[in-house]
Order: sequence, then structure tokens, then C-alpha cells
Amino acid sequence: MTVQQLYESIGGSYESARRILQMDKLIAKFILKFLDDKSFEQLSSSWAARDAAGTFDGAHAMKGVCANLGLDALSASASVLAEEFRPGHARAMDDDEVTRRVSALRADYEHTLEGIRAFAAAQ
Amino acid sequence: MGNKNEGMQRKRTVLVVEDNDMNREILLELLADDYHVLEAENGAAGLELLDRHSDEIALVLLDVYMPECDGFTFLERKRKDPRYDAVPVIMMTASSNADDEIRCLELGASDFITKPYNVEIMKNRMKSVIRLRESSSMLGRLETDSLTGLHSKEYFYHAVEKTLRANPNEHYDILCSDVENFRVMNDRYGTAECDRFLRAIADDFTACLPGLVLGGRIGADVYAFLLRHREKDAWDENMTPNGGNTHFERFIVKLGAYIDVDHSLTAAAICDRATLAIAEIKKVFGANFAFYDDAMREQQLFDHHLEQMMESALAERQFVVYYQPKHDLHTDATGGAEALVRWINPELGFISPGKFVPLFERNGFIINLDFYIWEEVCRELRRCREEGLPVVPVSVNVSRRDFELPDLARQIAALADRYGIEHALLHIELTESMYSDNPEQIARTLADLHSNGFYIELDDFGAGYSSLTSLNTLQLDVMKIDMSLIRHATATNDYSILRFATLLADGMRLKTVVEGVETAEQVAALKVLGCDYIQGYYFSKPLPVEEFEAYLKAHARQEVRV
Repeated sequence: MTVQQLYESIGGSYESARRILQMDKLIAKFILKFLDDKSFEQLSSSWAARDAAGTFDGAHAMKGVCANLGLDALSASASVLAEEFRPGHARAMDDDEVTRRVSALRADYEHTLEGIRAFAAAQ
Repeated sequence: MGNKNEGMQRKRTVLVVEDNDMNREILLELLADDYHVLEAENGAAGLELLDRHSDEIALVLLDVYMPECDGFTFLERKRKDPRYDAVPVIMMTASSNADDEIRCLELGASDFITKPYNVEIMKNRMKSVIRLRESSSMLGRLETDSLTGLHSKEYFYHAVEKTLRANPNEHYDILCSDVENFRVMNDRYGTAECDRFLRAIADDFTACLPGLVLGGRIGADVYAFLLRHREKDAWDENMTPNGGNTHFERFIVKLGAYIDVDHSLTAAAICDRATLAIAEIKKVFGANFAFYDDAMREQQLFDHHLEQMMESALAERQFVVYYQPKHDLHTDATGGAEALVRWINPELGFISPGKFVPLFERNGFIINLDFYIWEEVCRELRRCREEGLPVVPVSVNVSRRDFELPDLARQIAALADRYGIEHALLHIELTESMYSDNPEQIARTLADLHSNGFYIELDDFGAGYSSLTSLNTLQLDVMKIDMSLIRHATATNDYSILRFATLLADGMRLKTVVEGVETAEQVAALKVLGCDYIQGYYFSKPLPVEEFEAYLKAHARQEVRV
């Protein structure tokens, strides 16, 4: 499986990743590291505890990491949550709405991880 | 200093402050070819690295949102320390949030890059921010003094601080040099010749100083050198630079060393300490080298404190005149008194004249103080007369600085006249050492005072250097024999020098006052020698004015003339 094929399978933007990391080798290196990234975990556990600051930190980190890897859809979903919990800003969603979005993000995230694991196995 | 890379592109150091491991690693990967990268996982760790490497770090890439110490806090703390002024910061934001960006700019950030990183944009922004900052900071920092080849003052200070910071466990010394009477040399030999001389001694220092790290020209004729530390006994205190092939066969360069410097001080403060050591030996013939010690620093701080207080102290009448009676051996009654100043300060209590008089002589305030004392004495003499108390002549001290006034005699006369005090009641005491400073001026002013009817007493005769020339040249009335002579006579039971002094005074028709008399035996011996007056604890210590008046009532005749 090539890096480009991986991106097609997980719905990532290979072009974005290429623009940032410039070489397939680097993209591969960092996309594998994404398996160990803890930002979604922080986002979801903080939200479960209704910890707004932690939720922001997790969402904000996930947004940045995903953007750098060309995982644009994940980045965009995380960004919506980060804006919701940005310090000093009024909340716009009710809790159910947030829970729904976190679940949706989890599904996308899991799907991405599955694809990356398959890529890792094929290396 | 580390110029090996000159000519080729030097790899600059960038500090990346970012909490997310992955983002940090990506940056590291992207920057590794062009920069040395230091990494910190939050603002606090970033500040620590900045503190340790502020001189190497060309740029900080700073994430905004981080746990513990975020980007805003980092900027706030960085802004408080001027050492970090020269280090620019580029913020990394995940999205363009205008509020955050404005706040960062207000806190001193130079630019932004957004995630996801656009490598080209990022690298170009980094390059331009670094270039801008480096060129502007070098503008004010000319590296080399063109005359001597040493570093310029600003650059030297900067380089010293950088060296101390980079080597916290190393020990260093600072040596400062100062050419004695350089201005006079300049006037006499001209600037070109003096420039050659300055260059020659700078070259010689540079060639010969052991353990030399850095050298700078921090004043017209003042150099400073940062050296690897040596203990005091490893210093050659007789070293003197070679003036080269110039006119100056005789010149004096004073050297001050502050050894094992305190790394927490600024370079300017470190050099101040070395120059303070020089100040201690300025104008001291034969003393060309001094080490700075803490006592000098404390003395300097104490002097500064006194200087801050002196004017208000005078206005608040903290300076108090005490009177020490002089006993007339012929009449066996009080025949006069010496006015002595005491400083009684609400904060420091009694301050010894030994601490403030030399200071006031240096800064010139002694003139104000002396006038104040003279007026107090005039006022007291008038009071004695008005109250029907005995009136005796009172001697007051003058300083060498008072003689700088062209019309000293006229001013003292005007003061005495204002209080209706006959001039003969005011005796002027001066020391022999003053005479050596500016003999013509002193002789002229004394003649002036004398012709105005004031009596002149020569103080401390026999202490230090006594010169018969001064006795010959100055118009004197009284010789005060220093207390060291009576002490010596008593200790050795040998009064020959005292006898000689008395004979000398007698031959010149001068009255004698012997100071420091403490025992009845001394009084008896001095009576035999034919001394006129005795001043000392045997009769009385210096007294505050009320006690002095009581003493006069008990021991003086109504009106006394010397």
C-alpha cells in the first residue's frame, strides 16, 4: 500500500500532507506516529468529565496535529469543538449536541486509525 | 570569538515551544536542515531554555495554547527581562483567531505562522524576522574600537555578560586600567601622540595579560579586561604596560582588579568595582595596583547614603557644634575653645567626623558645612556676651576647599560683623597638609584673614610631615602641637621634641596649644616647658553648648583675649 492509497482509504488529503511534509517517507513516519497521539483521548475523556478547559486543549491539539498530517476532515471536526470551548468564548451548543459531535468524531477517528494500522501491517 | 563560521551560512538556533509531541517532531524534521532546534514542551520549559541559551537563540517558535504555561504567559514573562529583548518570537496558531493574534502582537510577538505548516512561508518568515532583528541589534553595537583594536564599550559589556552566562561554573577576574593625568598628557603632547600611546599600552596588555578572554576600551583612557581567574598571590602587582616608542618615558597606569567576579552582576557593575579599586589609589604616589574588596563597596554605599542625607541634615540642624575648652597655663583659667562638629542623625545616630568630613571635602559640601559652623559659633559668642557669660576666643576649622573661594576672608569678616563679633574672637585653624596643595593661594588668603584681624592657628603641628617653610611663609599666631608628640613624650619620658617645638614657637612669637593632654603629670611637664595652652581630656572633653556654658561659668574669667 502506498501512502497515497492510504490517504484515499481514510479520506485524508494527500496533497495537503505532501505540501507540509514534502516526502512520502516523512508522511509515513508521522502518520504511523498518529497511532500514539493522545489528543482525541484527552478530548473525549475531558468531555466525559465535562471539563471545558481539557476539552478545548484536546480538540485544539487534535486540530493542529490532523491539519499537519493532511487529515483535513478530522481537523475540521476537532476545530468546531475547539471553537465551542475556546477560553473566554460563550458556548453555542447544548451538551447533547457536543456529545453527538464527539461521537461522530470518534467514529471518523477510529476509521482513520484502522486504515493506518492496515498501512502499518502492510509495511 | 567563534568566527570560524564567518563567510558560510551559520546555522542559527531556534527554540520550538509546543506541547504536542507530534507537531514538535514535525517541526524538528522540517527545520533540521537549516537550524539547530531546541525543544520545549511548554512555556515554562521554554523560558528555562531561553534563560540558558538566550544569546544563541535566534528565534522562538511559540505555540499559543499549552497546558501550564501558555504562549501568552511565555510572552509576558519574556517581556519582563531585558536580556531577552533581542530574541524575536513567531507564534504558531492552528487558526487565525484575530483576538489571539492581537494579544500576541501586543505582548511582543513578531509574526505568525498557521498550522498546518506551509514550509515555504514558514521558512521565509523565520528568515526575515531573524535578519531584521540581527541587523537592528548590530547597529548599536560596533564591535571594535578603531583606535586600540579592543572591543567597544557596549560590545565588551555584552560579550562579558554572554561569557559569564555561558560559563556559570567558570571563575573570572576583571582588570581595569586608567592612565593617571591623561588629560594633562593630552594637552601637553597632543592627541596624535597620545593616541599612539593608548594603542601601545592596549597592544601590550593584550600581548601580556595571562588568561585574557576579552578586552574593551570603556573610557577615553580606561580599559577593561576579562581574564580567567587567578588567586591574589598569582597577580603581579608591579606590572605596568609598555608605552611603546612614544614620548612617554614616565607615565603611570593605575590598575584595579575585581577577582572572582559575581556572575549575577551586569558587566558595567563589575567594571565599576574594578574602577572603584583604582579610585582608592588615585593620586596616591607609588600605589599603582589595588584589589577591589567588599569593604570598598560598603564604603561607597555608605558614602552615597550620607550624600543623599547631607543637605536635609544641614537644614534640619543635625550638625551640632561641640566646644572643647583650652586651658591657659599662665592664668590657670579657660582661655579659649575649639569648635568641633558632630553629626547626630535620627537614623544612624552619632556619625563620626572621620566618616563625613573627608567625604564632604571630596564633594565640596564642606564649604556649606563650614559656613554653617562659623555662623553657629558667631551666634554662640554673641549669646554669651548678651547673657553675661564669659566670652573666650573660639577656633574654627577651615578646609582646603574653603580656600577655593576667592573672597574667603571677606565672607568670614562679613559673617562676624553681622553678629557683632570682634574678629580677634574667631581663630582660624588650618592644617599643614593644606599648605602643600596650593601654597601661594593659601598664603595669600591667610594674609588676607590676618589683615582682617582674625587669628590663625596651625593645627596638628608635628603630625605627618612638618615643614619649616610653612612656618616661615604663613602668617600664623598659634601653633597647635599634635597629640602624638605629648603621647610620645610621656611614653618614652623624653620631652626633647616637645621642648624643641615650644622653643621654635617661642622664637617665632607663636603661642602654643598642646593637644591630647590627659594627665596631671603632662600638665606639670608642659608648664615647665613654657607652653601656653592645653587642650585635652584632662580638663574637658568636647562639650555640647549648654555644658560648655556651664563650664565657662565655672572656669573662665569674664573676658579673655589670646
